[in-house]
Amino acid sequence: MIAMRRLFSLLTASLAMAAAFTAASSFAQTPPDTSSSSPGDTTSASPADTTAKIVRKVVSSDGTVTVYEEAFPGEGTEGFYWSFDKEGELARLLDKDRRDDKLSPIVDPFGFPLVIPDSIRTLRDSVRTVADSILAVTFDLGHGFDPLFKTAYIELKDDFQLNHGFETSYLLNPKASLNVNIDDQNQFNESTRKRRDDRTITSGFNFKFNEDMNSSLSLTRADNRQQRIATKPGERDSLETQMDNTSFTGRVQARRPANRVAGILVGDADGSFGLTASQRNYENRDSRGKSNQLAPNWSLRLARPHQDGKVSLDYTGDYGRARSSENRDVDSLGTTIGEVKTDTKDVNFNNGVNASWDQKFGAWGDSRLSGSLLRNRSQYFSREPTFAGQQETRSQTGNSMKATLNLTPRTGLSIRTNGDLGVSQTEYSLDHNKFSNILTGSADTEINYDSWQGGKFTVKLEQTYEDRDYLNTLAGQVKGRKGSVDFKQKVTNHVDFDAGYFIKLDQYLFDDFEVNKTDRDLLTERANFVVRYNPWALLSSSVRMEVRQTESVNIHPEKSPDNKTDETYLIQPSYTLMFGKTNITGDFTADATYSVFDFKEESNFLIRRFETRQKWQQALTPRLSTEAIFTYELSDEGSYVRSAGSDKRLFSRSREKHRHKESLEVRYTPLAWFRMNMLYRQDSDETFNVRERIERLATERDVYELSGGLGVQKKITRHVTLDVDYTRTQKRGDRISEVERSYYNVRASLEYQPFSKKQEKEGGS
Amino acid sequence: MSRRIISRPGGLAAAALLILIQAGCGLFDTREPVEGEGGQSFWQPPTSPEIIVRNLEVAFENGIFNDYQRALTADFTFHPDLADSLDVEGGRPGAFANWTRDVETETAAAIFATADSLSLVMDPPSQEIIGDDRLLKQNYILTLQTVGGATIYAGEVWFFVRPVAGEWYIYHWEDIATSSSRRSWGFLKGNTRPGV
Repeated sequence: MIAMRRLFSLLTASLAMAAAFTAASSFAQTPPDTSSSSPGDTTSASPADTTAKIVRKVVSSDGTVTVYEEAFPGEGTEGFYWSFDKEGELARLLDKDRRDDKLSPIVDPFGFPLVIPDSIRTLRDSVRTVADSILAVTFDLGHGFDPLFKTAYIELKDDFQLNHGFETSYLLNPKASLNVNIDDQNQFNESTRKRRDDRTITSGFNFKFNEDMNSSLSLTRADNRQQRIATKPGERDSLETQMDNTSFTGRVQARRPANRVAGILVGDADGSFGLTASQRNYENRDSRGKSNQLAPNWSLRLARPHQDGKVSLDYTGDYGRARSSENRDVDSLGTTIGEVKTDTKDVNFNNGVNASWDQKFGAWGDSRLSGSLLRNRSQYFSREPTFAGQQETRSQTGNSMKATLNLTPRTGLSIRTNGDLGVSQTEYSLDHNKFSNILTGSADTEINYDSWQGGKFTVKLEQTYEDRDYLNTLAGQVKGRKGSVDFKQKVTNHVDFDAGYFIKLDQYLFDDFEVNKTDRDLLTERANFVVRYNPWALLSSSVRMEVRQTESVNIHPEKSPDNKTDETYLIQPSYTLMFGKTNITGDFTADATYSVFDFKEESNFLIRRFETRQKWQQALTPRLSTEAIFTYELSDEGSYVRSAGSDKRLFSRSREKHRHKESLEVRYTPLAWFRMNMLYRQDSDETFNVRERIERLATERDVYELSGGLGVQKKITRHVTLDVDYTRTQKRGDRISEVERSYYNVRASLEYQPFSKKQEKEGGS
Repeated sequence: MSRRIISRPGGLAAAALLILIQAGCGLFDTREPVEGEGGQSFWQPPTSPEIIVRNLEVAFENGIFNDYQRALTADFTFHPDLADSLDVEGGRPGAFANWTRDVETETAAAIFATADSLSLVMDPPSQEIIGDDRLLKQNYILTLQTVGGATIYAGEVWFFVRPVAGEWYIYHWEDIATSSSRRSWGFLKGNTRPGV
């Protein structure tokens, strides 16, 4: 109840803030209407940048992710502005012929690879999830006869992998097709001496009755096996796990638009019914078993669109009856016994209902309200040592509700609010102690305001709550609160700044404070300020300042002596110089981290660090470029001791560390599909112990690395594609392990498509 | 004119901040701890890969789960041995799914709670360099002592660690089942994860 009140208070605060913004924004000046088009290398600008049409120069693209030069400092990530074409990516993933194409690498102007930022990668993953969900319910008969053979060899240091694949579909007539997929993977790791073999074969028959009804039959066989290869003469290889699964599925899918019940429109209906018969055999170190199951499964989706909205209802379920048997060699205490056989009859089911209502409110808002119910049960042989080999039943229930409200009261102001509430319960028939009943609730709001020149203001608030009802000492509540404020402002054409503040509190409150002594709070705060200045086109610079604080509070007196607060202060100036074919970047970081113990001042600690990194990139010719990187780090650490006869605490250094790294890489790309590179790297560090201000060398480490590589990505003929990425590395140094003294990293794949789509088109024309 | 344009959002920002502060009053206050005696300063500043693994080890043995959590990065992942994965998930589908830092910490706390005492012995690591990161490979023996007796888990752990502003943190953990007579720590984790 208290939790609900707190959730309510957060939502109230969020809504109050939203209301304040809405009211305040009505007084703000309306920005000029500067909607811009985005042809060629021009991208549409965010509302913050709408004062002019921004023309950006493309640096690199893989088709849907594009990297541009920054139009103004601080606009992008590490000097580049990234964009992602969601619609293009979805279209690519839904196109069977393009879905598995290898994407072009994204590189900087000197040909060196760039890492895609997390924000773009997350977006890309979400688009892939959407595409997968669309493909899962899409009935595709395929086109013609289009077999594809794939083979790949991957060697990464001491890990070796060989993959083979074959996939084809054959259109028997306009209403029927056959398809076969074979995937075979063999892997061996020299360090763990583990060999793993996986194979999956799927064959299917698809039949289309009409546009609204289709059916499929499929037979799948999957084998997985892991062995540990003998390491000594006389020792035998040992089987660790082996499993095979064979399943046969028949399925009918149908849809019927605009259904009516008693004259009332209930909407479009999509439904399916299937029957799966499966057999699973398995063997591990102490048991062997098998399970046969017959399981009907079904789904129904009703969707009724209305003006500016949609209501939908989804129901999916399955009900399986199985016979299982298992032979065990080890009893519940781990003692080897004679073989014991157990036979069981299992009933497994899954049922889920989800209802949702989407509504748009003109141009200023939209909402989504959804609720779901889940009921699942599965029976299996327990793996818990106490109940090993006995039939266990796991029953799960779950109810949840979600609400989302997005508002755009005026141009440049958007408010997004979400609320979730859910209860889930898991029960075990044998292992009662694993019972759990968890109530979860969360609410968050995000306000973005960017309707003035060159600025953006973002506020986020989030609260989460979990009430964990367990039958052990972990029962209790977990509370989380998060808040952040970010402000970005372009001051002049050459100067802009970012300022941000973030705070997060995690609290663990256990029901039995005396038995579970780990009641704790963890508070994290961060404030940062970045100012950027680019006086000329060839020079850009910035200074970043940051203060971080992490407060670890253990509540119980047995744990509280270790309570501490870590405070970090950081300053980092950096610059970028661009002279045509030369690019020089550098940064200088100084930081200090204080660990302050609440109850043990003698343990207080300080780490000071200075680091500089300088990078020089040079294009020697259009196809040849180099990159040199130099890094130097100096750090020392120590604690505070109270001097004898005085109350003052003085910093006493205990250790000093020097580290320097240098690397030089040359890249040569004589042809668009062929690339070569050589890399030399040196990494050295020395650690000194400091006692009574005298430094003594404690450890010294030098590592030298030379590697050469080449890359080929080419369609050799109309039907054969080759993709190779090869690197050989040699390392030298006192503490280099045998595994990494000299090794190869190889990724080579060959694809053969004898009747590719391209040939069909040419043949037909 | 431009000054006016900027001054309004400035005022607005101040108003929003005021509301945020109002809304946040008391929300981010930590609780008052009960002062105790002793303590062993388990957490060492993780200035080397070995120290962060040692921090995790002693935090687990002593049940200091703020420290256990702090040893792991926010994008932490765990990968069990295939034999354990097939074995455990054969009965508990989803036992290893979406294994995040929070799941790892909660599972470690659950293991800690099931035992009267817990001992973790790890061999000195062998270290490999992977770009700026390090891979530490260590054999381990984990002993859980309960009223019913001692249960021993053994195997090999691979910790992938990376430097963040001069300090090292664990971002990936692989468990390798190497013993033919003992279950692995990964198996224990999959079987103990609460709420699945």
